[in-house]
Amino acid sequence: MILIIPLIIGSIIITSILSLQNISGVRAKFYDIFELSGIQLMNKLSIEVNEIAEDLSRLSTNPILANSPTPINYQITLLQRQINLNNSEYLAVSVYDKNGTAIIDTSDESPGENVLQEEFFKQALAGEPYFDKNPDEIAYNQTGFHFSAPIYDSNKVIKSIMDLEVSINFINNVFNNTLFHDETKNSSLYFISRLIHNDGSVIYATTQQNDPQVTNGQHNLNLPLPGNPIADYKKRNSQDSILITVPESENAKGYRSDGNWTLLLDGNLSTVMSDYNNTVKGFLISSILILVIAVVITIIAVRKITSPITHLKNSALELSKDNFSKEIMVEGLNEVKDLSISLEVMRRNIESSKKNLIRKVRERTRDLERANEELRTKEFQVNSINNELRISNRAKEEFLSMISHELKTPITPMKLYIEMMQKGNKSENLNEFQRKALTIMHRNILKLETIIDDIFTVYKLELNSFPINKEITNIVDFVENNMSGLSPLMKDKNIMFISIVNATGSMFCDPVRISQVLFNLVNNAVDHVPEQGGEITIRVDEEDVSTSKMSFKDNDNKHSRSVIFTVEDNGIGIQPENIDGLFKKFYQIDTGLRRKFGGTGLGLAICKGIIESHGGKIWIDSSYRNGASFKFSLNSY
Amino acid sequence: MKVLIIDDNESITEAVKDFFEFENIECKIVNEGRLGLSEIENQKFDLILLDIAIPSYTGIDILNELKRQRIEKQKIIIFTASVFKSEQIDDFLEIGVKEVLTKPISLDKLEYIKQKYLKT
Repeated sequence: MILIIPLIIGSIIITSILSLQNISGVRAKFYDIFELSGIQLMNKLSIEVNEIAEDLSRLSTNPILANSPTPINYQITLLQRQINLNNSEYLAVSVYDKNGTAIIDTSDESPGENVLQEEFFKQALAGEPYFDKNPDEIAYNQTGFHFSAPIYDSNKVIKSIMDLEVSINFINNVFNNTLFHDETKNSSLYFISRLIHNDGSVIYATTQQNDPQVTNGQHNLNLPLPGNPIADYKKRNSQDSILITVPESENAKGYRSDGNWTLLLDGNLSTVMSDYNNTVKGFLISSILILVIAVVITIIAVRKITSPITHLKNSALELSKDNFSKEIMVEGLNEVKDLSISLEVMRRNIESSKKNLIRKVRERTRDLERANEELRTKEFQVNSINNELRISNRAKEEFLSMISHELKTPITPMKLYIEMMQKGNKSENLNEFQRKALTIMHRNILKLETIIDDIFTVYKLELNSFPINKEITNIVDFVENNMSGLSPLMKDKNIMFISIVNATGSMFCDPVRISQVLFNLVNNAVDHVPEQGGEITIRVDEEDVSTSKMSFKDNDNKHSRSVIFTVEDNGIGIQPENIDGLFKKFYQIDTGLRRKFGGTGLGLAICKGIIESHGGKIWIDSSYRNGASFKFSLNSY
Repeated sequence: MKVLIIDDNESITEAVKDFFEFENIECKIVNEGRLGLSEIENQKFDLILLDIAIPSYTGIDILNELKRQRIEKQKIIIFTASVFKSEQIDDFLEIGVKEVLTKPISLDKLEYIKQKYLKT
């Protein structure tokens, strides 16, 4: 659409240029025609002048006038007849003697004037025919020219001067038959034709009455005659006028004159050109109109199509920038309007959903803040409870510690004395009863110590303040040390105590605590094996942990393995219904057993606490039928 | 050979004294902190067994006072029920703290002390 506009403008400009070129072509044609006519006119004029010159020559050489002593009256009659025969424009013929005195005058006017000082007389007296090209007042008060020639006698001596007075009408006759005659001024061509002497005076003009500068033949026309007319007239040309100068043709010979004539054609082309100009003007006006219309259409097109689309584009851009608040209202073509309406509907939808979203987010935020506030309150409460718990835990711990210490302190001197009494040389002085009493006292003191320690340990485990100091422990060495440490327990019942170690390498544990576990398990076993033929076995096996069970912590272990400890005995075993509660505090299978086997009922709970603190597991192998089989696992290293 | 035992529990000090006397080692009992300090100030013992948890004037008070008075190069064994940090021993090395043993005092520990510090 927009592409058409420059095309229209371009074609208009091209046609305008072409038509303007045609205008100047028309002008040139006109000029050629007028110049040709001017040249023809001047040729005619020359022919006329030549005819006059010939007439004069014929008259002046007429033997009647030259030689024969014909009476004056006869001579006048001859001359008058001659004039009438030739041309009515010949107003008069005069003959002057050498002194300038008229001898013959056909005009019958008094020839009293002496023409001795007149130019035509002087020139003719010099011996050649002369044409005075400046018009003058001649006979019958008319304007005209003097054609003069000497009249020679038979001796070729100038006898007298002949003067032929020619009315300016002869020029008029020439002009009348041409394009430039007055009567033609009604036509579309209008010319002022002037015959100008080279001294600047106007000899003849076709439209004297219309030319304010020329009221008679003598008026000076201030139009300088150009030295080089061809170059100059072009400059004078304007759109509506043509100025053509045609010099006098040079075939007018056989006489002398006081100068040359030039034809000045001043043509007014306005009437000729006006139609053409009107056409061109109309064309130009319509061109401009089309141009204006094109521009207007462009503007309208921009307003109606481009501008709404740009507006829409900007609106869409705004939308893309998340700016949904500005209403989209674009007036334009139907399609653009439809698009605008769709866009507006979309914008409203988005805006409303955005508002909804914002409202919802706000609500949620408020809810969250409320929840947060509640959480903070709860957290504060939890913290303060925690703090209280911590304080109370510490108090509990301190209390336990104090109780334990206070309970143990009285035992210390008792134990010291009993042991001192039992020792070597002093025991020799004791009788059987005393020795027995000391043994029982000592055993019970030890039990009491164990009970106190167990209670303390189990509570510490519960308070999570039981210290575990893990170290890399060689499995074989560890088992060996424990075997020798636990052997004394086997003495009383003469129990067969063996170890089977199917594992190498190390494990990461607190050896003291794990020893404690082994002690408790073995000690339990000692209590439960029969009096004769008791057997206790400590077995250590290595077990691959399947990859699915691998924890991240174990990743540094190239082959993540766990070590399984088993403590087996050939005792009475554990009934399946009793297994569940076995690791609980103060649990024993029944009161009768407790009496039989002693123990605090804390041992297994302590074991469980210690093993779980190591990340291991403790359980009873219920498939074992020969007695009891306790197992626990630890990570190998 | 002369041993000093400073502990507020009279039964324990008596037992310890008996232990050493059975071994023909003279043992002086002190059951109060300040008295213990003045004993150390007044005479030189071959070994001092010092309980930390003594009421009113503790074992730590005694050690600090000894340090302040620059009474050095003693042979002191500390007994404590709680964990005594190793840095704390470092503070009293100059005075002559040799070792920290955990309570309760047992016959084995006394035998160990006798073997280690009281061999003629």
